[in-house]
Amino acid sequence: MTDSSRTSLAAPWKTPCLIAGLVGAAVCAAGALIQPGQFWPGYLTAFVFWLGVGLGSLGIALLHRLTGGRWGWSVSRPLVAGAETIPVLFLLSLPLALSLPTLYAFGGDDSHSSLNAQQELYFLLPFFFGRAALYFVVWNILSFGVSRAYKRDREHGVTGGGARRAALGLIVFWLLASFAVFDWIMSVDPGWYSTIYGAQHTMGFAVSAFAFAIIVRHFSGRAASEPDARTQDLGSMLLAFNLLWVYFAFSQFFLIWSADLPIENTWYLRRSEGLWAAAAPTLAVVHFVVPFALLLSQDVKAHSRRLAGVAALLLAARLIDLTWCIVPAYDVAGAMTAVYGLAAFIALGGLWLFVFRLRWEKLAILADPVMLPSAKRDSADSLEAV
Amino acid sequence: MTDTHVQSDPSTEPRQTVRSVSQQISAIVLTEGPPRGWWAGFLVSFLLVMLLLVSVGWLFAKGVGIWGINQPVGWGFAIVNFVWWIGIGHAGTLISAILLLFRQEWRTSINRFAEAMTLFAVACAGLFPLLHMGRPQFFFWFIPYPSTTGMWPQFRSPLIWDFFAVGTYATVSLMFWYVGLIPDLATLRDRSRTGRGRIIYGFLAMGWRGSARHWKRYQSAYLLLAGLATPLVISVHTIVSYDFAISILPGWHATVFPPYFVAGAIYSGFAMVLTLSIPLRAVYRLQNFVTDRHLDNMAKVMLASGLVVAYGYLMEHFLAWYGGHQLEEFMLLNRMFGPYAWSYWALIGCNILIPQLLWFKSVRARPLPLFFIAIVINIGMWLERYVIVVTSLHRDFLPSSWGMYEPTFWDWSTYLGTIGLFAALLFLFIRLLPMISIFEMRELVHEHEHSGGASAEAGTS
Amino acid sequence: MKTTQPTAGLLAEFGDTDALIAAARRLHAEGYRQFECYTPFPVEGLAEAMEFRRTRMPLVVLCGALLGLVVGYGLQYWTTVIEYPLNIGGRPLHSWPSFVPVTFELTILTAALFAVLGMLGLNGLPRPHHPLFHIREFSRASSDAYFLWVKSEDPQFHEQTTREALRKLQAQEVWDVPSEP
Repeated sequence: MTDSSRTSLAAPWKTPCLIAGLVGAAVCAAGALIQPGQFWPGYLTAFVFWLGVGLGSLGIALLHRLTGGRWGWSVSRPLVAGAETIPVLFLLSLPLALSLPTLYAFGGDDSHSSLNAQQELYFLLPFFFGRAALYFVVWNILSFGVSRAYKRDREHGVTGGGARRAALGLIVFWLLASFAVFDWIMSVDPGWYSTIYGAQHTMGFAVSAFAFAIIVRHFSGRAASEPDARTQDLGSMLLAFNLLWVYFAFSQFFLIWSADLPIENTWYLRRSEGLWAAAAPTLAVVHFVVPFALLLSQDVKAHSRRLAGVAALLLAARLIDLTWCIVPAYDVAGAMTAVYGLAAFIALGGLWLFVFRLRWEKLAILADPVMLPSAKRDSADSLEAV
Repeated sequence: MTDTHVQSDPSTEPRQTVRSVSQQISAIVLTEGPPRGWWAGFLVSFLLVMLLLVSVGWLFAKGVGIWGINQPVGWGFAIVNFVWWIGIGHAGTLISAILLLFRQEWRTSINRFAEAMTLFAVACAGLFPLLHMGRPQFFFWFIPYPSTTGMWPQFRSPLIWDFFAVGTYATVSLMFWYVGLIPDLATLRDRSRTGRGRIIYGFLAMGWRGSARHWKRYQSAYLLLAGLATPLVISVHTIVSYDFAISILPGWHATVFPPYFVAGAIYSGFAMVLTLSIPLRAVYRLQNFVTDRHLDNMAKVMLASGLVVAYGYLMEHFLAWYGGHQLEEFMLLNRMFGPYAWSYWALIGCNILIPQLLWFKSVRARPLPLFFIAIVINIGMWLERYVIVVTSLHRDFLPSSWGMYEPTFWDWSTYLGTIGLFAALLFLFIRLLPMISIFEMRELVHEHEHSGGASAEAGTS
Repeated sequence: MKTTQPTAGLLAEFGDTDALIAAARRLHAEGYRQFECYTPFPVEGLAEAMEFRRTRMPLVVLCGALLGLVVGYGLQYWTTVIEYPLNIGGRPLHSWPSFVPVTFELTILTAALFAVLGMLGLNGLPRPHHPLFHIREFSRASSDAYFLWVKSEDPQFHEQTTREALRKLQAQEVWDVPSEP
């Protein structure tokens, strides 16, 4: 019954995605063989970016199942489809197993200088791989639960329910995401740590996913061309997610800047050398000032096309942020890292989008939840559902 | 959705009308004499206010030496109580502002009361840094003004940030509360039967008539205030956390502090709202306004914010282990097994373990267990600040400068005194002003009358 | 009711919000502009029926926020860098991260002040005296009654025809509003 939405998402982009993905993958394979030092930081960045879109979708889908609220219904399809891509993200993470000697202090043989005894233990390879496997298994279970609940809602015309399970799922999700950030991102600077880092990047994932979902909604033809309250809700939520990220990121910087302890401030000093010095001011503008100013205005956030523009800007900002967090940790990274990083971004993005599109189509045959009568009063009783 | 406690009407019992709402709520202030419990409660809190006056008078006479603070623990009760009170205040703003922005109608019957709680808690909180300064008569040196000394405040100091944060918070909370009161003051003006009441409420209502254009601007201003109060409330406790976290002291310097302090503030604030509203609704028979559903929702918010606090603890502990930093490790071991271990384990019990009972619907549905859990959380959040302040300070870098902290009688009497001040102000508030927003209740009741059977029908879904 | 006094217009009471909205819409369509509706709570669609759509409140608040932002940061910069430079913990004089908290608080403070004072100012409050306060029944406007006042300044206003019009719009009762002395 929703055939219109099935065809309106500019149909012929599945094959280009696949082709771009395969071509990119070929470039990546070449890079991994010829210049692993230049290649792997780029690949890790691209992987974390797309992982963020998928994981963030899962997290927000769980959050919406817990709290309800009108904002979530209009993007629940892209969010659930995004959550369903976690198996492919697992596959895309497998090449990273080859990267350990290049990327991580614990991956090589001469690692014993920069890690303390606890980190030696925490990063024992079997333990490290075991954790990675656990993360993916649990995320898969959660994404299975989210998509089953979504389908059940559509088939039986109920919206909401299962809030208690969603709450537990969200807790597990958040914990595992935090530790995944420690394992895969924070560890690029051996020895450095910050207690908010897990929450900061998990919130970044949420920004990526919500921005992506807003863009998909815009192109799926579900959105009105006139300003409407539903779109405005999405704009407000995007603003809220992004401000939380800004809040975490600024607090971390501010506290480390104020204390100025050598064990902490190296992270920022390293990231303000050379060209990287431009990254943080750029982030302040494109991740905070511009989206903030735009999303304050109702004329922007209630307008699907303009909101999608802001969301695209935020996705670009996410990529800049992840690049800035990961790549400067590597002295071996150089100009070719940008080339390989772009290739990896296209490769992973193409493959991921291909799978996302397949999952999204599967969900399209179900009714749109906003048409169901019980969704109407959702805003009034969103905490009711447990 | 299968539970039987869901009522057809989101916030009130269905039989209310626009007229009955106006009558029932304004009657508490205008016609009914205070119940006996009010007098008893007010008397006790008034005595505690007297205790506060004595304690503060003695402090002014003798100086901060009457407290237990000394090297190395220079912060003691004053800062613990400051953070505790200001945290409690935050729930009021959250209920008013954030739930308004999220269109959570159930907030309507508790927001006024919670806002008043915010004001009084901030008043209690603001006392402590002033008293702790040693020379409170010079508090105005915080204010940037061209003085004859030619000096200016030190804007790189968290003490100045606190001054601006708490000052802004108190001002904005007061305005938010007062703006919310204006239409209700007009109702009291028009319903009051005494000339004195008409004059006082009439003066405060500023000639409010409820014209359509006025309402439109009013609603716009109120929403904008809510939009401003939301980041404000987060910033206030963030700045309080900066007081600790910009230092280099193990146990204070952690980047997770800002969000985890904010969550802790919400946690203790909702606990305080429950602690107060459960007895109040019983005494004033307000079960039809503050329904079981309100208690249930507040319990859920409490559970969620408590879990964020637990996440903060987990991150601190894990990364102290992971970082392998000797001072960080020692700080945590000292907390867990040092001389103040009792406070650490009591904190874990009060803040993390016992509140897990809130997962059960049957616990959330009963006011009595909920009341006790809320009190436990209040204690737990006080202990959290005690642990952070005292155990971090009492054994720092040099073992030769270690020491112990022991609160004195005056520490306790000042603390109890502020509890009395808080309670006395609340008693006066419920006696003199409508503790539930009348006009928002009218609006809610009207909407449900207007939507006809829709609400009843939706309740069965 | 005396008709000899100079009147400030007519006040009509309506039974419910729907009747009031309908009356407001009709009067506006008939060309009345100087009239005002009074309700005990904000009624959705009423201001729109009177063609009063957008308030200037957001603009007022934005001005307040920008003022606080600029003055707040400027104050700290001027005192710390220019007027009273002092080395604190080896930090630069222009320690911009340290200036963020106070700048933020002052932005919020002035924006909130502008919101409250702007709302009161645009609404013409405080206003202790008002012609409507002389009508006893108007006191129910803050409890459970819905009123509409057609002012005598309105060029369309004519006592007889306006009264007729209000009656036709199902006003339950109509009073003369005495003009303020």
